[in-house]
Amino acid sequence: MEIEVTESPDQAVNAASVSVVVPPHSTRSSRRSRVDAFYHWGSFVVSLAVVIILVAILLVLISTAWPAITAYGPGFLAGTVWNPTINVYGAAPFIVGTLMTTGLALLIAVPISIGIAILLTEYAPGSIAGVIGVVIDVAAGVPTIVFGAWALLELLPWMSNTAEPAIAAVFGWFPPLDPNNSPTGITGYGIFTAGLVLSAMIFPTIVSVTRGSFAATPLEMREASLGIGATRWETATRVVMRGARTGMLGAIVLACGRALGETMAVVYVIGLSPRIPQSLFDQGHTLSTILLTQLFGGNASSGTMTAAALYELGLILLALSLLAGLAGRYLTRRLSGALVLGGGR
Amino acid sequence: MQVDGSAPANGRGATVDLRNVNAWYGGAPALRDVTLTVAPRAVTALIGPSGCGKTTLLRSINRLNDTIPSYRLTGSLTVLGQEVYGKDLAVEDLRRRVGMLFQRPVPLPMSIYDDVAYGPRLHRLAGSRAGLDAVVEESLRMAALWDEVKDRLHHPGRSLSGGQQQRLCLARALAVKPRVILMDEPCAALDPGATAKIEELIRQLCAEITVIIVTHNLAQARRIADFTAVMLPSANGGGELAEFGLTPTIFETPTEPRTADYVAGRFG
Amino acid sequence: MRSGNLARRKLVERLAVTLCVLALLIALAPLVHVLYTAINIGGSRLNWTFFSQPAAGLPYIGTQGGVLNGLVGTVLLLFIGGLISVPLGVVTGMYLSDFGGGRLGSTIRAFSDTLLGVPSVIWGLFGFLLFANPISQVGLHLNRSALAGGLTLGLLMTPIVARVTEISLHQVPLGFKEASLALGATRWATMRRIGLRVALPGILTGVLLALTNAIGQTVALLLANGYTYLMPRWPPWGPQGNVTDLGSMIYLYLYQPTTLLHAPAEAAVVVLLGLVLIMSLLSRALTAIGRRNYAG
Repeated sequence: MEIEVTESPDQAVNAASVSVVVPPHSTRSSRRSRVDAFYHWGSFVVSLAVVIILVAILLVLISTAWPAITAYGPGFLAGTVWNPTINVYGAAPFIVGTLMTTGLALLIAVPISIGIAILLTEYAPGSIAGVIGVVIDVAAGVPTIVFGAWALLELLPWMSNTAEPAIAAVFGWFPPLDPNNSPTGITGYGIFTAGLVLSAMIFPTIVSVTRGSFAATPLEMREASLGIGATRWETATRVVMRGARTGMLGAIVLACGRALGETMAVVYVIGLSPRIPQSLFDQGHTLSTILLTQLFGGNASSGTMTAAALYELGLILLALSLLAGLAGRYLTRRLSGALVLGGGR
Repeated sequence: MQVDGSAPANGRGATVDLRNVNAWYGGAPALRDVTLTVAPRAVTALIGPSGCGKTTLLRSINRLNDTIPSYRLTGSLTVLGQEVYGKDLAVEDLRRRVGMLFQRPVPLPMSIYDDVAYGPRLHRLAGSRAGLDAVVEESLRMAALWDEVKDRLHHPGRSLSGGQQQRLCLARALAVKPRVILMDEPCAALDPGATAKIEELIRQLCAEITVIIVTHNLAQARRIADFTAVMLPSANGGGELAEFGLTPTIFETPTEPRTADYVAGRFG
Repeated sequence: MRSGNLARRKLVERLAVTLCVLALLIALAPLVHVLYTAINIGGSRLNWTFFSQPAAGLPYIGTQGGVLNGLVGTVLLLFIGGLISVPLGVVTGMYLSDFGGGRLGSTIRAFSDTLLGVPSVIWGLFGFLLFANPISQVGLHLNRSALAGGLTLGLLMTPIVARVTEISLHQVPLGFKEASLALGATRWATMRRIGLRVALPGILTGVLLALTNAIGQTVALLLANGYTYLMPRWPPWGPQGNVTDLGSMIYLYLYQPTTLLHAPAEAAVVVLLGLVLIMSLLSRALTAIGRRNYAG
């Protein structure tokens, strides 16, 4: 029986009508392998772009920050004073500010997000869960300047007039919430408000990734738990959450990474004060807000030590964000790739 | 034996009793007018080709079909004297007294100890840590797993072999002292050695516990089942109970011609 | 026998579910309020003028006129960004899909994914130093301009496009690819005629995703492109080359020490949200179309 092979890439793939002829000499296959070799190496070279970009970012930042790195050494990280006019630079106020706002945001957003994820995967009927899921996904794509604007125009006055005095009245015995610890009293500006805005912004991330890791739990495991007489809540907390521990942690770490680099949402309400905040009601600065305010319309012209110190702050921020991103991706490596998309803003 | 499956009364009362049970998934019929009385402290096998309602019937007994929103059931289904689909039933209590083993072994994402202790902890069946330890050990012994795992109780259940995992699931079910255990093709994913162990355990358990087992393996049914119920395709979709009786009778001298065809391997 | 603690357990469940519903409401409330605020404060400014006129007015620019400069600027910046990121990202995705199984592929994927975690402000620093800065030793010296901003966006968007392209290509049923290869077609031909064709909706979704992300990169654009209230000029580089995007406009309107710009700012927020919503819905529609393609 004779089989004919003809390469016909211009026709639709239709197995029923193919005839197959094997050519006696492999001119055809060498042309094929030339085309594919070009494809292979050509696309490889192009894909090196992402490598080059990351390396370039590091190089550019390090070289610009170099004067400050060499001048101040590791003490820069612990330095608590930032005063360009007398050439004293320390990163601590901004690191603390970043950590405080991100920490507060996570504290608020994580329990809320986990509760929502349980609701959507274990309780809500499919159609409702789908709609809410879509709403949350769209919310994740909202530009953060929108939240910043809202924070300035609506949240700030409310915090200043209503919420913060109320919280101080009830919880003032707790040092971080003691208004006397804040040199300016209660103004609405400060870590607390900034943390609140951040939490409103990061919950979609935590919900999506947590839902994904809950969904990865096999149905049989839920049925095994229900089959022994557990309620749906007990199944959700003792079995599903337990099995999804890594994924949940990854969700939190990923959200943390995004919150660290967030600028627009907090820049209006954090108070822009380059010192270590003494309480949650106190003003502060984050690594990203100082960078934005000084490098845009600020007085940090290139080549000065101020600029170098600022770029060193940028390096610190980059290091923190990349660390969180790496850890988060490692923890969620078993989840569907599309979930963990998106960058910090 | 009548074709409607009612066994003669034996003085202990029916453990699981179905009368005129019909069930649907949405508009698609699954069970057609099933009437069946399961004998207590015996092994009853549900056999038949795929799609004839064996698993549906099994999962109705512990209301695990509740997880499927489109599922409906009419008729009377009583387990241990209680109407299962009645309004007052506490499903969690029912499922404590009716255990289940699934096709694939499902170790919970925790240590072996915690897995077996899962049920007793939920239902507060043990008064103290020592009591819990005792329950865990007893259950693992009954599942013939104790000697193999007693030194690694805090290892995750996932680390066990397939056959061991299924025995772990059995231990978990036994830990809440059920009266009935439902098994949905429990050996389907196991090798012959592990299968033999499970079958041996089933024969030991049925002295105290009623076992209802769905199986595609006719030889298995002949080996371990006291009673056999044959589910065959019903005329308008779904499955019906074609015949029910003592296992030797079903396999050697069945009354229904379709049963004879099925057990002879002529279809299914 | 009814176990005694079942009643308590069911009570716990009811309480817990109530709390979860509360959590959902608490989380959605700010979103709803953001939308409400934007429409409430900015709604009055939304008329045809707003969309067709650039910003104008004294003493603060923006009190009159509209956001045309911001709209056009946004489109221009996204366009330049897309020109760069789509070829780079799609080809990278193709490489990773066809040849990316080994360690080399994993490394490139790792770099690409790492870039996803770079904050906007860092992209801005990088873009400024490499493209915009007029007085550094290395770099393009484009000044804060549309080209500098667009280039920055392009680099920023590439990892997103690459990742979604790879995922979409992976979802092409293996049977299609194998049938083509079994006929003797080259991998290139298979990719061109089958892979890309079937994965096209997914890839477009990825591009949309990247564009939606890019719209929100306000900080990067401020640092690399700067700000102006004028409409785009030619050339898009040099001291006259900057434009503005919607996000930067909003930021700077609200930064001014006046309440006169609150309404125009929130109106711009509405426009921005509208853009994002359209892009999200398009993206969902594309995914639905794509799902039909994948029914191998």
